Amino acid sequence: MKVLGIETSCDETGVAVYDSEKGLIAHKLHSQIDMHAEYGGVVPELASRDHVRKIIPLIHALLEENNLKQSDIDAVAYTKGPGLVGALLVGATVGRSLAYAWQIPAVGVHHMEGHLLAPMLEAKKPSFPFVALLVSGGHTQLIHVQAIGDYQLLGESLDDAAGEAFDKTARLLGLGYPGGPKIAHLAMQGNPSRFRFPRPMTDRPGLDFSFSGLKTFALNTIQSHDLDEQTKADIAWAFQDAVVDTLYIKCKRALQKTRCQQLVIAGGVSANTALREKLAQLATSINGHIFYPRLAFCTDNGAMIAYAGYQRLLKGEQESLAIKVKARWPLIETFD
Amino acid sequence: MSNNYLMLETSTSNALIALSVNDVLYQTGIHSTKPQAEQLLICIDDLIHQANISLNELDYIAVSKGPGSFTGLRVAISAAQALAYALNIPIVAICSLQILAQQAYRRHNHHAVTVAIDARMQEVYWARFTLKQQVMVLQSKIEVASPTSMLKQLTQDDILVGNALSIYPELAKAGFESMCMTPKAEDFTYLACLLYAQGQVVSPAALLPEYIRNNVAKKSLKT
Repeated sequence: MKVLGIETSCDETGVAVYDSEKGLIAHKLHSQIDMHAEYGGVVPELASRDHVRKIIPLIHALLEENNLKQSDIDAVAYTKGPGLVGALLVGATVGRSLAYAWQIPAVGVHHMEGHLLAPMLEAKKPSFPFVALLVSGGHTQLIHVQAIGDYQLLGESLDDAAGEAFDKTARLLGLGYPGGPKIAHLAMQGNPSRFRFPRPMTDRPGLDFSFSGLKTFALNTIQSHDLDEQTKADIAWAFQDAVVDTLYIKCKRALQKTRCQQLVIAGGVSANTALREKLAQLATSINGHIFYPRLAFCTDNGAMIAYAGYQRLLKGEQESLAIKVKARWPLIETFD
Repeated sequence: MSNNYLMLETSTSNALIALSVNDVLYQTGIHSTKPQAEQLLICIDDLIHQANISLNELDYIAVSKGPGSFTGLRVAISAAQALAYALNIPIVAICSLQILAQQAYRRHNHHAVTVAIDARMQEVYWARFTLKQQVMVLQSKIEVASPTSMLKQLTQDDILVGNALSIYPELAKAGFESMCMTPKAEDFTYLACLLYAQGQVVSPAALLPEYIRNNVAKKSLKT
């Protein structure tokens, strides 16, 4: 079975084909990052406009370049949410309409489930159960994954997501957008012994996070020093170290609590080298294993949507002809 | 030989979804209060069943390219792109204002009108159309402006049509002969056939909305 995956929840147009026999057989991505950089962040209307412009040519090129015919596709998976509503609508409308015209099933995918399952596309992949750290510009969550769709939330950020803290701190340092890679790059020049940032919420039990205080701490540090290049680098180092260390501490607790030995990290921040190295140490220290997607699949992409969509189709899920998107949609529905 | 084609117009809340099969027009109601995206494919599927044809029998898709609601345009255009791509058929893109101008000619025999539709943010999209060989043709660039600044550019014998009249009272009060109207399938079908016969078609990949309003974001001021 071949599933076409479509991702348009934010500022990347991603398309891919996952084959249940052969694995991922095709993927393409158009990133809008350069377009939004001029504005210091994602402009929702411009994102929607660019998706409309790029999506059909991208799907066409995906099939052509991989010698696939339209009739080879057996199902269409698209991101249904969460994300920017206008951007989501483009992918959902195209995806649902293609499936309608091809007379094949369509399935709406949760964007974060896509990230969560992205490591499954790699040769070295986890088996259930495992602990997943979902860490991106919109999310910081620790999840106990027992099976596809069987997710228990262990902890999450009570305020800013880790990626959001990176972006905000980068802006304070005048580094531009997106902030994560810029801070990571600058931190390489930083002096590790100059500043020490707090590790929020690590002095008490529990698996929740709070990153908004780190941004404030960064602001105070910036305001009380002459901001020369070396100081910027030192702050970048100290900020990144605090985020990474905090994530490390909580991941360690989560593995202990669940008695899991497998840790998955996914989402945009999982591309961060310092984070990968630190969590690899953690895995080694408990004789466990760490899994992450290849760098190209840490950020938004169609491959993870195709894969997650295939898993949902196996569970019998399908979308009706009503095209629906959900700007807000918790991965783990809670029933109080 | 007559063609089979689908018509999608969702540039305003008065959406129009219709199907022409062997010159017979099929229409279905779309609720103005429910999201258009939720109803679009359901309506199309209803029409296809009513007409007792299959999607593969469509020759082309006609779609309103705007101006109008950004989200509305993108829903119809994304659907048109995907359907046309999957069915390997072309698209005929029609100006949303022209559909209304054509109606003013068909129903009231007006040979020159100014069409104005709501652009939100206290502005309207507007343009002049005049009759040439039974077709209302765009006479001026489509503009986005406040109702007041549009009024300043009108002359005494201008005839004003479009939904802007029901939204901006200053337009209705300005003393022009005016008609509030919503898009009708008769005019859409007339223009679609004409453009298709003239070979004015676009490929799904080349189809883009005509937003007219393009200043949608401010660039950040780098320090």
